[in-house]
Amino acid sequence: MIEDLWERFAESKEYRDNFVAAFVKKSIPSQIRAWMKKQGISTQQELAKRSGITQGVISRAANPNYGDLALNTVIKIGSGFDCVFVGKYVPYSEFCKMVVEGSFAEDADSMRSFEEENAEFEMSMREQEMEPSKIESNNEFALAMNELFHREEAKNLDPARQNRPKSEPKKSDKENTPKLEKKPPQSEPEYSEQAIFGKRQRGTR
Amino acid sequence: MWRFKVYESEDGINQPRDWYQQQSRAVKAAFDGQLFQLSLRKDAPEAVSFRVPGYGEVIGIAFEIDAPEVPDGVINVLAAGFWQKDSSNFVILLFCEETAGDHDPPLYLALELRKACDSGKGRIHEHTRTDEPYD
Repeated sequence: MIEDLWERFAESKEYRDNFVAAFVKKSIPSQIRAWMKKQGISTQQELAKRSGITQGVISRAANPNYGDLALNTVIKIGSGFDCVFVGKYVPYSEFCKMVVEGSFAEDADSMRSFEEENAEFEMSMREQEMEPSKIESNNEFALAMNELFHREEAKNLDPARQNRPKSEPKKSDKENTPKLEKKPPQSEPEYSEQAIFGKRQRGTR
Repeated sequence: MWRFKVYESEDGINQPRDWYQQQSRAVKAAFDGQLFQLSLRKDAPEAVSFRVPGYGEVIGIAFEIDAPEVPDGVINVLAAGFWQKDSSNFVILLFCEETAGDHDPPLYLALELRKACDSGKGRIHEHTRTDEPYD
């Protein structure tokens, strides 16, 4: 399938441009519909209220044949769903990769608001406190967060990063930085990062 | 992922393929982009396809395709077909261009093709974009 898609893109720039325009134009209304369904938002009026925009604007955004969506509108609709709208320019290879990985598939399981995710995260913390082994084996969310955390940790340990000279703050920055009072040393945090995210990394189950 | 196929009648007529091949590159691209987006939608059968009133088992998917070369700037096309049982295939019988409520070719042809297809006549192919041989 990807070979076929790539061959199409190689036909001409005109083909690529029109393909992507049609794809993106239809993609946003389709996502709005899927998220509304997943979150039990039955009317455009309700979504409009959550997003802080008018029902008319939602109606246009949800219309697959309306192609003049404002960036502010899609961002506000993201707020209405309590999720993130990621606008990003990518090369065609990345687009194909996203297709293969299913990034465009509207998977109901992944359509969670921040509140839902956070509740899950807090639950995983409680589970860890009560039964440490449970989180390691059962909680996909905690495992994913664990992976993210370790990726970040690896970046910080990267010697290339560590050797990079730290830039001096600009004078204006220094002047604007409020002076912090010295705080007494803090006691050990109740949950260590390892305890929160679990000991194992993804793929080691 | 949904797959879109085309029907070729017993006498070798494959109207969806012929329609596609007559389009400009821009229209083909816009159509392909929409079809591709549709193929990724889990809810495609209930969200975008509908039973065409008065035409029995014929299911329609409407496309509004940007076409700078036509006066209105868009071509409205109804892909008349059906969802194949126990599969993720939508079989396109006809592409009907829609103008002021009229369809060209007329929709009753889709109904006839559907009956022929159900009785085992003709063939179902992958939707190809070029003159490549089938299957």
